[in-house]
Parts: sequence; C-alpha cells; structure tokens
Amino acid sequence: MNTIVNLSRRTFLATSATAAASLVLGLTVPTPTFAEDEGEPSAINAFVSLSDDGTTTILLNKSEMGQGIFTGIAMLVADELDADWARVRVRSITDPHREDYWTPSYAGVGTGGSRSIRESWMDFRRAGAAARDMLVTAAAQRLEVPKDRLRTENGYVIDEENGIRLDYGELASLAAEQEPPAEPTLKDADRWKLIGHAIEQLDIPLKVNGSAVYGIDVRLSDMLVATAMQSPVPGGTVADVDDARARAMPGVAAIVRDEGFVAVVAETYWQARQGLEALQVTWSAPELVDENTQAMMDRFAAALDGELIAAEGEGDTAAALSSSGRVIEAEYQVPMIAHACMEPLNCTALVEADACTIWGPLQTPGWAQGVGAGVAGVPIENVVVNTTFLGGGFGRKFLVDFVAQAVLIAKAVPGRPVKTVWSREEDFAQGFFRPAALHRIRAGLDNDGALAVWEHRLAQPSILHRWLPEGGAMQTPLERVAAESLPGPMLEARQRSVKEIDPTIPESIASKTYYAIGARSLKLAMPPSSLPVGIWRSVGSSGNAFVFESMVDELAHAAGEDPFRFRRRLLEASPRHLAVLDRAAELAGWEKPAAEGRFRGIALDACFGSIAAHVAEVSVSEEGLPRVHRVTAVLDCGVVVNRRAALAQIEGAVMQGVSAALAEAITLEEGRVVETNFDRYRVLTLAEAPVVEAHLLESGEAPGGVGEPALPPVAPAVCNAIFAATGVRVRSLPISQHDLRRV
Amino acid sequence: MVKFNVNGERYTLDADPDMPLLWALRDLLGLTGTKFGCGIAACGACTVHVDGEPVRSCVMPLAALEGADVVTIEGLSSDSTHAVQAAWIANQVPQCGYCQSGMIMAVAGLLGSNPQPSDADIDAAITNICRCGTHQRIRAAIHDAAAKV
Ligand code: FES
Ligand code: FES
Repeated sequence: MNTIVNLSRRTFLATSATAAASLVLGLTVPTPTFAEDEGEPSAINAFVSLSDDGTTTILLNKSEMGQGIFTGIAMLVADELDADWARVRVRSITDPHREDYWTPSYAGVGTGGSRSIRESWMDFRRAGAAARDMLVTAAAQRLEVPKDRLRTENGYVIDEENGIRLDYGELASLAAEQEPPAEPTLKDADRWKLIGHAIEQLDIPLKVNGSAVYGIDVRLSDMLVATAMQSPVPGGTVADVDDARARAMPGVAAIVRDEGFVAVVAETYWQARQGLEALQVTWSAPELVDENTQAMMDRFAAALDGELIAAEGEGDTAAALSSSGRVIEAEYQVPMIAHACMEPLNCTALVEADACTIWGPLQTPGWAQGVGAGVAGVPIENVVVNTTFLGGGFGRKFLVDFVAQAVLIAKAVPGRPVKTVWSREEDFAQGFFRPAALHRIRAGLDNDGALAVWEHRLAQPSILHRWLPEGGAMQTPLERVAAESLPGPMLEARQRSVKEIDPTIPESIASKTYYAIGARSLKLAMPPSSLPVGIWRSVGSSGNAFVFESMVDELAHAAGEDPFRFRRRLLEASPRHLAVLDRAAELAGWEKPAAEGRFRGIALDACFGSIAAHVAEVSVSEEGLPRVHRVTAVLDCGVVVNRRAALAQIEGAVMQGVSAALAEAITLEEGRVVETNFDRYRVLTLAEAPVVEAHLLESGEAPGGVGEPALPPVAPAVCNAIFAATGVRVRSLPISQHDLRRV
Repeated sequence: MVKFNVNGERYTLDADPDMPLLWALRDLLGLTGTKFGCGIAACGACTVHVDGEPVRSCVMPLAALEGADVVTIEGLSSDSTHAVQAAWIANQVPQCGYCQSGMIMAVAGLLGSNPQPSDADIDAAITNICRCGTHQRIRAAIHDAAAKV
C-alpha cells in the first residue's frame, strides 16, 4: 500500500488537542492518525530518500490539485529507480528556495502552465536513475563484485550469479555516500513498467474517507482562526473601522487592520465570522472603478479604437482584404469568469522571532516562501512552507495574495499559528478572474474558398504585468505585497518573459500558424482592469480559442463548406494537427448524420505543447434551452505518463469548459462583483453534465501539457453546434444569455 | 448545551446554539473530512447524515441537533469499505477530492432511500458541485454502488 504524507507527522499529531477544550465537555476528541513515518531515512538526492526498512520516499516539488501529479512524478522516479511501487510514498518538499527543486521557466517552485511533466519529466527520471546507479555502486562495494554483474528489480539489487538479492533498504545509507553519476542512464521506453500505463492515483484512498488534509483542514496546537474582508470594490483601502462590538464578542482574540483588509482572529471560524459581520468598515475607493460590465466593455472598445501594439504580422493584410472575394467581420466578447475552487482560499501562518512557517493549498510554494520572508522580515531559508492538498487550483492558488494576508494576520499574533479562512463570498468578491476581452476580426476568403487574410484586434487587460513590482496602480494592496516579495530569481525570470506584451494574451491566436492563412495580423490593446485578473485554466487560450474557432466556423459556412473539411484544408501542411482533427471527427461519426434533433460542432486548438480537437453534440429545445449531450475529445499530448490521469484531466477540462461556456460569468454593479456565491454563480451539476468521450492520440512526440489543453476547444465546439442547430451565432459567452430559439 | 451523537460517540457541546453543525464538526470535534464550500446550502460539500438523512450541515444550527445521530464521512465505514466508497475507488472518481466527502454522503443517502436510482433520480438528488468535472465518473460509480448494495 502506498502512503502519502501531505503534512509531516509531527505537525499533524500536534493537532489533536486544540483550542476547543473549553467549549467541549466530556468527550473524546478524535485524533487524526497518519501513517507512521518511515524508518531511518537516507537522502539519496533531492527527490529520493530511502529508509532502512525499504521504503522509498519521493519528494515532490509540485502541488497536487487533482491533476494527479503526485502519482505522475512518483511513477517517473520509481520507474527509473526500479523501486517497489508498493513501498513508494510521497512527501511534499518544504524548502522551495533549494535550486534543485526549481522549474527552470519560473526559476522557482510552482505548479502551473501544464508544465510539470513537459518541463521536468527528464529531471524526475534522472533523479530515479541516479539513485538506482548509487544503489548498484553500493551493492557492488558490499558484495565486492563488479557493478555490471548486478541488476535491479522491484526494490532489490540482484547478483544473479551468486543468487544474492539485496533490499534497497539495506543499501540505503551506503548508497547515500556514493558520488552521483554525471549522466545517469535512462531506460528505453520499452522497459518502462509504470510510465505510459494507467496507474491508480495514490491519493484517492485518502479522498474517499475524509483523511486527505487540505489547507483548510490544518489544525495545530494553540491555533487561532481568522477571517477577513477586503474592499467590496476591489483594490480599495481601509478608511475607518469601528470594531467595538466585535471586540466584545465571544472567542474574539484580535482585530487586525491593514492597508487593504480587516480581519477578525478568534478561537473558531464561526466566531471570527460573527465578529467580522459586527465590524463597521468604511473604504476608500481605488483609482479605477467600472460602474458596471457595460462601462468596462465600453472602455475596452475605446481602447481598440486607439493606438494598438502589433503582436504578430505576416503579409499585407490591407491589400489582402481589399482583393478578397468575401470579407466577414465580427465582434466577439469574452466575459470574466471565476475559478471558484471548491476549497475556498485559506492559509495558515506562524510568525516567530526569526522564523515563519506557512501551511496552505499553494500552487507556488516558492513565491509563498518569499512572501513569508518579506512580510515576517526573516531570511528566506527560515521560512518553512508546508504545501497541503489543494481543493482545486485552476490558477487561482498560483497567486499568493491570500498568503500575504495570512502572514500579515499571523504577524499580529506572534508565536501563535493563525489559520485564515476566506468565506465563499470573499473568495468570489476578491477573485482574480479570467479577464474579459473584446475581439474585432476581419477575415477574407479567396475565390477558391481558401482563407486569404485574418486581421485580428483584441483588447484584454494584462495579467502578468500585475505580477511585477512595477505593476503599480492596477494592483490591490495584497497583490502589491506579493509582487514586492517575489524572490529575486523568480522576479528575473518574469522580467525576461513579460516585456511590453503580456505573452498570455495572444495565446491561441498568434500561435495558430498551423493553419494556412494568406496574410495575418494581430494588434492588441491592454486596457487596465478595474477588477483583479489572473490565470484561469488554459489562460489566454480559453477565451481566444472560443473566438478563433467560432470565426473559422463562420468562414466555413461563408465558403459553403463543411466546417470539418474546411479545417482539413487549413491543416494541409500540419499533419500532426490534422491527425488529431481527423481522429475526433472519426470517433464522433462526423460524416454520419447525428441522431434526430442533435447537431454537431467541431473545434481544434493547440496550447501548452499539446493539440486537442473536440466534437460537441447538442440539442436546443423549442424554448431555446441548449443541452450538451456528448463531447468527443481527442488530445495529442505526446508521450503519456499516466494514461488514467490524462483521461481524467480531459474529462474534467471538458466539463469545466462546458460549464463556463453555458453558464458562467462574473459581472459588475457599482464596481462590485455581483456573483458572490454559488446561488448566483451557476456551475453545472450532474443534471447537465455531458458524456465525455476522452481519447489520447499517442503521437510519441515529447510530452506536452495535459491539465489545460483539452479546455479551449470546448466552447467553440459547443457554439458551433448551436449554430448548426439554430442558425444563431453565439459571439459572446455565456451561452445562457442568448435567445436560442431557431432563427 | 447540546447533546448529540457523532459517528457513534456521544458529545455534549457548550457552544453557540446558532453555530452550524459544519463548524462544530470541523473546529470543535476536529472532524475535518466534512468540507466548507459555500455556507449557504448551495454546493453540498458539507453533506452529512442526520438521523439517516443527508443534510447540508453549513445551515444546520447546533440548536436543532439535540439528541440527533450524526454520521460524517469519517464514520461512514471504519475502513473505506462502504459500497459507495468502494465504487469511488474502483471508478477512480476524485480529482482534487474536495467535493467528494459531500458527494459520497449525498450518494450514500440517496441509495439508502432509493437503492436503484435511475439517471433522472440521480440528476434530481445529487446537486452537489464538483469543480474538477468528475461528473461522469460519479454517475458510473453510483450505478456501480447501486448494483452492489
Ligand atoms: S458548504 Fe454547505 S452546501 Fe456548500
Ligand atoms: S474533485 Fe475537485 S471539486 Fe470535485
């Protein structure tokens, strides 16, 4: 049986006797028990520790938020190590400042951009292979035989000739003393025992009995619980607080006031929440307030009429437009949407004289560590970061505004751990939403119906400029604290990738060079956003692919051609993309008629190193209500590590994409978020869940991303199917705001 | 002072009678398997059984629980072998897993009153939110568990 340690046992056992004693009479407080720690461990390298009892512990620098990365990394390391899978356990690292844990593109520890496998899979494999080599060297020494007489299997070094099997545990301490090989030998793919197979998730047993520890579940001796509010018009600052009533409330231990928030610290969440509701707070408005959603879109429209930045250009689009036989113009809009992770934001912090400890559902432990150091005023290596399971992340927990807040609150109660838990209302109101966007496109066909020209103008607020210390006026006070605490190397990596243009904005427009298009141009405006914006699963691609692939559908219809065949022509010089499109069409039965009343739409996108094509099958009722019945989804993510996890990610991305396309939007009234809980922010449930036919097309190319790339084609496939069903072209989301009665 | 049973243990709590059961379970009893998702009975993450019925514990005040029998995810079975838990493992349902305690409790409740639910029954009864999109595995696992109950 595998074990997962997502908090150290010591931390966890300390949690049983908490502050509730005075409130709880005559009862046994249940003690959460956790698996015993391994025997005497020996660190072989940054990712592998072996115990004398034969347990292999794999150290994880990536966060588990449902994408299955714990299992994926463990598979990569264990396969090369020839470990006994049944004796493998995993544990999150707590020292993200160590360079051997960094993801090169971030120059720090973080999980996002569907990068874990595609960017680091060789590092994980090398760590396993290096450890294996050191074990063999140790065994050769012990047995006094040449290394090449030994082989490894399932946690043993074997000397066939002498019939000797040495357990890795017996060799652990000797192996740890060996020089690591400069270039460890990796297995050929045909010798993989784990990689490429469908392996059960290590964490699932913990997730069916309530024992998985998420950030919100952290319990420590002497711990207090806080909850906070920021300005209801995001970005505002605290002007005045009347806390007289709250101070007198039972259990309230402290009121913390900072530039951008007020918090109540109490014995329990419920008391903190009651205290918060008793506060009278006046706020100063931020610099930029959009009265409502329309006012924001009007600003974006004005920005598109102003000076634009050229992001991409090839050929003379003006000439091509004037000579084109058929020009189509369209304006598309993308709404803001919320991450709405099921686990509300939370973070626990303990600030001591010269140290800080953080526990939380963190996508960027490296940035959190910088925040701990910056806010607590301690050296970065004195900040211990405990990454728990994440109850969803989707990009929201990549930001560390909530970590900054938790450390600021804990700093006001030094020596006591404080868990700050956000209410769902606060989680929505202070979201970092997928940015809204306004697109204007002119595209033209030549006389053969080929795509001669594509001219694209796009207004979308920048996300990544907010992450830099000079992000300035756009930032909320907590964002500013976070940006200013970015560890130096992470800051430099960001400054390298974010120049004038936020590189996430043109994703899935500028990169669509796999389509044969005569002349093309993309020009951008980056108006400021009055609401904080952030990275939402698949980032720029989620909105852009909706626009691009819907427009391609418009052009196919204008050319009088089947949308699948129209795309095939665009992909003539891109065989890998074409294969994905063909497979989706084939599996969905595109060439055969759909069932009575059902209609199909198709879309393709490539992002994060992978290619996806989907066919959606929808019906629209007499009353104009759409229903997505089935989505056939094909992903080519190159080499697949865990087939099971990859398929689950496709299913999840499709469902999240369908929910977003049909129902989700964040809107503004008087500068505030209107949808502040699930009663107003509608997320689809089982009754509206489509069947997802998830397929992997194994091209054998280098691994690409898995968590995100299956999402972008969902909205356009669904909208294109709705057009087929009704003749209504959906040019803004969500679909639910449109009248879909057949035109 | 409220007296009630949780997972077969007797408890007497001297706490605010307005405190929702959810927070009593999590903050006072240390039973953190029951999750906070919305606080307004809109997501189902906090579902537990009260006297055998699935209930959203975030809106159930302690005052209403005098003498009640509460079962949480920790008490559904001692070793994760309840038919619903077993089906969840067999179908590899959870992704982030945060919604799944509530899902499992809601489904165990449904199967208690309707051992062979149709798809329409499932759609009507299981309105919990899962943000990771595990829905089709949930549906498959429910049918699986129903076949074994
Ligand atoms: S937390 Fe109770 S229903 Fe959402
Ligand atoms: S598994 Fe993540 S919310 Fe359901």
